[in-house]
Amino acid sequence: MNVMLYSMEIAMVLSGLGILMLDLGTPARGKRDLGYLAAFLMSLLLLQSVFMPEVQDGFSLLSSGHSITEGPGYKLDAFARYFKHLFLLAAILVLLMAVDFAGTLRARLAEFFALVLFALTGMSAAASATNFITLFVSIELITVSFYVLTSFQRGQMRSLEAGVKYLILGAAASAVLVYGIALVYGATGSMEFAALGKACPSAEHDHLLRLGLLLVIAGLGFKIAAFPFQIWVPDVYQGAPAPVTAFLAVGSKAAGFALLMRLCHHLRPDLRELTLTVLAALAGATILYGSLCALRQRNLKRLFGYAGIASAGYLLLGLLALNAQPGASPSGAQGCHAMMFYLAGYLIAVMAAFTVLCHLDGEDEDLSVLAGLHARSPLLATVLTLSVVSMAGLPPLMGFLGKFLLLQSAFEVLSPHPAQLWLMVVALGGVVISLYYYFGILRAIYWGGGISPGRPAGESEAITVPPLARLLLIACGLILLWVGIFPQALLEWLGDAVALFR
Amino acid sequence: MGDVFPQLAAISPDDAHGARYLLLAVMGVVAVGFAVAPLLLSALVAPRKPSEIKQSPFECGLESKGDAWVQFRVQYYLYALAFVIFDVEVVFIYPWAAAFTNLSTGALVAMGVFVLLLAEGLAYLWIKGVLSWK
Amino acid sequence: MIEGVAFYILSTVAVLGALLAVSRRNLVHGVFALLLFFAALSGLFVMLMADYVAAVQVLVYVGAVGILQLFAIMLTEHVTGDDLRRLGARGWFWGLMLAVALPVVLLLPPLLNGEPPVPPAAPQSTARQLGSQLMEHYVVPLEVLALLLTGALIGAVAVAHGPEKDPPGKDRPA
Repeated sequence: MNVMLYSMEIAMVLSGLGILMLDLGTPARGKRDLGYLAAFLMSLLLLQSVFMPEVQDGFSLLSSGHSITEGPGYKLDAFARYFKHLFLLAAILVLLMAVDFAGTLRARLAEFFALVLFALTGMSAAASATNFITLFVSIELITVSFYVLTSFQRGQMRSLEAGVKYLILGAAASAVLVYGIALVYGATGSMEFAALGKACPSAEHDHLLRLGLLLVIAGLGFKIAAFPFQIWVPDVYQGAPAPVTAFLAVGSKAAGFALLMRLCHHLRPDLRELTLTVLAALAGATILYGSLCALRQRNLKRLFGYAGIASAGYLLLGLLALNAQPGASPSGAQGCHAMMFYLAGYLIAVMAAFTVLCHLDGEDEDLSVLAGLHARSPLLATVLTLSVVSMAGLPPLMGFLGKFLLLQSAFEVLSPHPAQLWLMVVALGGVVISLYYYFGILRAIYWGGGISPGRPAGESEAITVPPLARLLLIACGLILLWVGIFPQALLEWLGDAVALFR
Repeated sequence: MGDVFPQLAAISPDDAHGARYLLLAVMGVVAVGFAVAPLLLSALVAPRKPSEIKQSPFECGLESKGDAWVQFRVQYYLYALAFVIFDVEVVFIYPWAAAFTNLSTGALVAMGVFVLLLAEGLAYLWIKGVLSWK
Repeated sequence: MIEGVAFYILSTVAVLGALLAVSRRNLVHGVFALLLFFAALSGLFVMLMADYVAAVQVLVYVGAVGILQLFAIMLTEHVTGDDLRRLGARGWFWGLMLAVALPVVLLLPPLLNGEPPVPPAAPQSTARQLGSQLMEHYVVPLEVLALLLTGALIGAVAVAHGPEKDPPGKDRPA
């Protein structure tokens, strides 16, 4: 057992526990600084992992003579690293957002920061999971942390309600997931994902395996908010504190997709026929549901929730490529490439949008709070515009290429099956609809004065944004633009990460 | 075993497992019977002469008032939760202890980390004053 | 034969317990019915040669989870549930459909084929074997699990415990 293999997770856990211990000696006014400390530590970890990944290898070389990238149920490959970087980035932005949000949060900041780090650890372990036990335990760590984070504003009925709804539905989803895992184990006799690639002893076993697999997909479908399992999204997104919603939208979803990608990668060709059909149906329904529900939505967080459901649908399109028969025209790598690029763009856009939300002063997040934002804070308006345009998938921003790659890979997978091309029609329809509701946000920002004429004059004052948040927002906006125009660097980097799926 | 309980021989001979648990089941039945039999007996045999005083919950002492089912304080729940969590901890420590003689030093360290992580939770509860009854 | 009898007794008790648990208006009675279900389930685990799981079932579910549920119920105002309208009465039809559909989908193919599938690997369930498995293959999940339990504990305090005070001064030992 090589400890350095798990160094990132260990660092996250130690930071979380350290924050809790430091909290004991920190007076109430100093608690915000713990958030800065946590974000700083995670930034160090991110920098180390991006620029000096050989540090970990070096230690394992010293201790065992060769580079170890695999432990039982755990793999530290380029794919896992990429996702860990995404999660770290998301966590850093969430922590900084939460520091600014602290006034509204009002309670137990240290625990909040620690739980964010615990959830991060779960996501990080999920990115590396190669067996069902690691999968389940890491998913549970993420979910349990989010149960608490969601209901953190316990003075507010809506936050508590969101927490309870997430808890009950999440527990049901976990039950489905664990039942599916049990069936898969019963059929294959192994907890490893790799066992999904082997033939079963008999037709009955195969039946159990298929059933188990469907239940596992359903359980993970809850985490990624795919269509029949999405009912929790609007209420939880609305009730949870804004930083938590952002983390839920990005981290929890990306972790679910990372697991699905690993899982689908190992599937036998005949199982892929089943999963391809199921995932295609899920993707179509998810896109349609998310897009249509978002149309009439006026609450910003719910709107982003429905938009997030639609994005899960687009991401599922990328997953189809992994479920195509081996040797089909687009390799699984192409779909993964698209998904991982899209997730990066989605992360930045969502984080930017929610950071902006944190700085708006309305208690309810109705679209009308955006009215006149371009006059009150040109920075917030510009960044929100960039983020929304990116999510809508318009060039030249990052979201455009992500969505384009996803649609392209899905088209190539589905083109041999003309009967399933309806999915492309649905997906393109979803894109068109999304333009409408995302444009609704832009309209509220720039031409929104007339929506609620009775708003008091005092609210049109300028919004002051703290310097650090200002810096982050500018950085997010620039990344969305820069990577959108020059995506080559990120795409090449992703090339290594998806090598696994070739 | 077969001599003592001839019917146990009916279980497949390799099934010492079943036989052991059958004994457990028999013991369970006997234990329940032992407790229930006197109650039944007294219900059947004892003479009944009910009166107001005899039927009150306590024949002597203060009259009980109100409902025993009152709303608990949330602290009870935190105690119960801590109990469950350490109970679950035992579930994982026990197999480790059973296999201890065959395990490497790494396993000792791993279990040490496991226990320390949970001890951190306990320390947190303690220092935050959750365990002190107010 | 005797195994068959034991199985049917235990299953009947389990199903009855589960039915009672969902149908009692008095939540406390419901929890006790649930405990009956847990106990019967433990017996079923024994019959599956899963001794340790059976012990865990008694230790954790009958012993601890039941207590936790009782406490959770005693936290609420309307313990007996008499003056509450029944929740979710609309959903019973779909719940029933699901409850029927799942066994049908699970059991029908093996029943049609005669034999239920046998697990390819014989389960090894004594505590000692579990322990070495745990330490050889599942160390990372074990530590993640410890973190999960700690997180749950801390989370429960954060959500349920009273308002936060400043850290204790010198007069109070920390």
